[in-house]
Parts: sequence; C-alpha cells; structure tokens
Amino acid sequence: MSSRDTITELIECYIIDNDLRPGDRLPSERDLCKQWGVNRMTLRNAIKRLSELGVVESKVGLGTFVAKPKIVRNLQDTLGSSEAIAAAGGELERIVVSSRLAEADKHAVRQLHVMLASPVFELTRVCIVDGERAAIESVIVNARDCPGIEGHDYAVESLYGVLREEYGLVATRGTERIDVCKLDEREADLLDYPAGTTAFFQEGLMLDQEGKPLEYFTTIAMPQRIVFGTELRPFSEGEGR
Amino acid sequence: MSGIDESSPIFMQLRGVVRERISTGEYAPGVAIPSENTLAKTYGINRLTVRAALDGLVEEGLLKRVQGKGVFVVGKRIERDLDHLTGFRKAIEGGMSKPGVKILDRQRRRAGSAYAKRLGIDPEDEIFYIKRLDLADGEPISMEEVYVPCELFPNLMDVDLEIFPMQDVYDFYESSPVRAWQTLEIVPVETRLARMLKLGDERDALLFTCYTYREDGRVIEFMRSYNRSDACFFTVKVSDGE
Repeated sequence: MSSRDTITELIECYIIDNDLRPGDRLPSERDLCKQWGVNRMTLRNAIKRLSELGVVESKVGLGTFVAKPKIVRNLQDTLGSSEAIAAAGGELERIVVSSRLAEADKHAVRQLHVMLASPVFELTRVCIVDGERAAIESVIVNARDCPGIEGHDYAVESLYGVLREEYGLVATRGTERIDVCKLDEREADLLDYPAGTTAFFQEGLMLDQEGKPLEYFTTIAMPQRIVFGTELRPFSEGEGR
Repeated sequence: MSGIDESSPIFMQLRGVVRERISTGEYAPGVAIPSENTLAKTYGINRLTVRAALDGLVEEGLLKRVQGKGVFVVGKRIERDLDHLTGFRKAIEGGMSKPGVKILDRQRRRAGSAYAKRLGIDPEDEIFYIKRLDLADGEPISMEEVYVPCELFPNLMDVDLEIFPMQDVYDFYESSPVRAWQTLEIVPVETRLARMLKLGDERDALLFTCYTYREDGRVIEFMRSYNRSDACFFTVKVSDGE
C-alpha cells in the first residue's frame, strides 16, 4: 500500500476508534502529521481522497469534519422517491417543471408498452433535498385507468400516493438500469450545476399489482449526496408474499 | 477405496491416491497439485500414466487443467440461477465479451479498526486483502479490492485467483453467500487509478461496494470496485418485498 492509502485508512480508523460523529472535527493537520510521523503533503492527499469519497469534509480555515452520510436510496423498497427520502431522514421539496396529459408517441409505445395515441400522463419534477437541487425526475404513466390524474398538484403530492389512493394502483416490481451521464444544457440549468457535470442516469419500468406496465421513468440524480443501495437475495423470497 | 488394490493398474492406484488427498483436504480446493513431472518422478512412473490417472479426475470435475499453470483442485460448487437473484448486476456495454482477471496485489494483514468494523471482527484479527483488475476482451473494466477474514479461508493465499473466482472459493469453504448489501456511487478517482482503468480525460467512476453475508449472518467479504462508467452499467430487479 502507498503511504497515502495507509494514512487514508489511519484517518478512517481514527474516526471509528474515537467514535466521531458527522459534524465532529478531526485534529489539526499539524497534530495528525506529528502523531503519525507523516509529511503534510501525504496527509492532505489522504484527506482529499476521503473527502472525494464523502467520508470527511474540509472547510477552509475551519478544519476537517466528519461528513454527513450520503442518502441511501434503497431500490428494493419500491417506495416513491418522496417516501424514500423521508425514510432516509432527508427533507424533500419539489418543483414541477411540466405536468400534462398527452397522447402516447413512439417513445411511450416502446417504453410503456401502450398503444400509439393512448392517453399518457407526463410529469417532470426537480427534487430539492435538504435545500439542494438533487435530481430531475421524469415519468410517463399509463393514464388509461387513471382519469383526472393530471389534476393534482405534484409539487406537494406524491405520484405514488395519488396512484394508490385514487386509482388503487401500486408499483410492485420492475427493472431498473443505472448508468452515468453528463448533464446537458437544460438539465444543468434545472439543477444549477455546470453542463457536463457527471450524474447518475436511472431508468426503469415499474409494473402494477397485475403485472401491467404502470410507469416508465428516467431520473438524473446528482451523486454528491446520493447512494443507490440494494439487497442481493433470492428473488423468490420477495415474491408472492 | 472402491475396489482398488495393489493388483490394480498403476494409473488407477494413483487416481485413488489423488482422490483420497483431495477428500482429506491435503490437496486444497483452488490450489495446484504437484506437477505431472513431480508425480511421475516421485512414484517412478511414466508421465503418460500420470496423465491418464489425472484425466479421469478432470473428467469427473474434481480437477481442472489450466494451460501453462498446472492442475488445480476444484472444490464443491453450488449452482446458481442468477435470474433468481435480485440486487445489482453488472452489464458490459455492447454485450458479450471475454472476461479476464489480473491479480495486482494480495496480502495477509492486520484488519485494523476500519475493516474490523466492516467485517464484524476484532481489529487484531488478520484479513486477506486482494486487489485485482477485471478485464473484458483484454481491456480494463474495473479495479476491485476485496477484504475477507483469514479465519474463514485459511488457504486463500495459495488459491490461484486468476483461475477461480471468489464465488468458487466461498463454495469450497462452505461459506456460501446468502445475502449481500450493495451500494452504487459516483466518485472521482485518483490519477493512478484513472490511468490503470484507461479513463482518459474522465475522472469519475462508478463505485460499487458490497458486503456479503453467509447463512449465520457473518460478513464473509467486503468488496469495493471502481468501474469504468463508459464500459459498464448496472441493472437491478426491484420487487415489493412487503
């Protein structure tokens, strides 16, 4: 292991051994260098690495602090993002970018497996988590069985909540793909980051209780504060219960 | 053993000996047995006879012949149907390709608090650390770091990990994973790693982290893997487990 890797691990151990919590401050660089007998450059490199990994946070002139853990978005729970973020202890606000009833185009036909020109509901929202712009969520919902779906205020209401309570539809399972993308001009503008910034690209199809396609979604999520999580287990365990 | 005695053909007798040593663990799973030349010399027999003896065990799936490397013991394996597993699955952009593994480092070391906490062991316990490069068609796809408690896999230092995936090793030692917690993040990578993964100007990678548990709830592995985002993506099946 390089000395940088060794020091990186020493800092991690220091945090654990001293039971430091998010927001707690680490000893000064000078003290740590002395304690471990390393040069300032190596220590700084290690701190930089840990800050890139989201373990610590350096504040100019104030020192190095244990970072707040990222929000883990568990993909297994089939919760809507509002429920998921609330469950992770985050505060969520949303801005509706567009909300409209439309006729299914070729894209919708392909993704949602509906007939051309059948009614679909398209919704795009920006999610703000703990005051920071964190994601753009776009969904297309098969609106055939949910008349009036466009009449809700999705800045305050959860889409999954409306589907469940008004129409008895629940997203029970599906497949998602997680990839990496670079923000284009429009996305960059909505999220308030420079164009070309790296982000998560998430897309998937969720089926309702009867196995019919319910929604196709794409989400662009900023990686600074979010981690996707999932539990690997035999599929049958989760089915049919 | 099974009707072999001193009047049996020599190749049958040797086959019996090797089979016995595999079953007692003297020849450990994942580890090469003595070379054909060595066996021939030891017992004063022809190399072709040795080959004939081993061929039967290769056919049975107890041994695996690897070109230029030797003959390896294959331990018990458990068939898995990946379609019946939830969780992230890595997919290579553009579909099929020939996988490869290059071991960059492996060592026995003290766990220390950071990995003791992740593996649920004492900081003074020893762990194996393995660093490897995963390849697809010879191109680097990801760099992985694996941490496992030594206690669970005593012979791991001798196992040829370029031949046997960790999954096989777990089966060999009857520590089959039943559950894993996986996370996916995007993180910037350091210059050295970027060069190793041939990232070019790209500085971000998909960091996949995984804690693997066996039946009794013990963590058998902590793994971290930095993936080239232009070369692979992850898929996940979600289902309402409630």
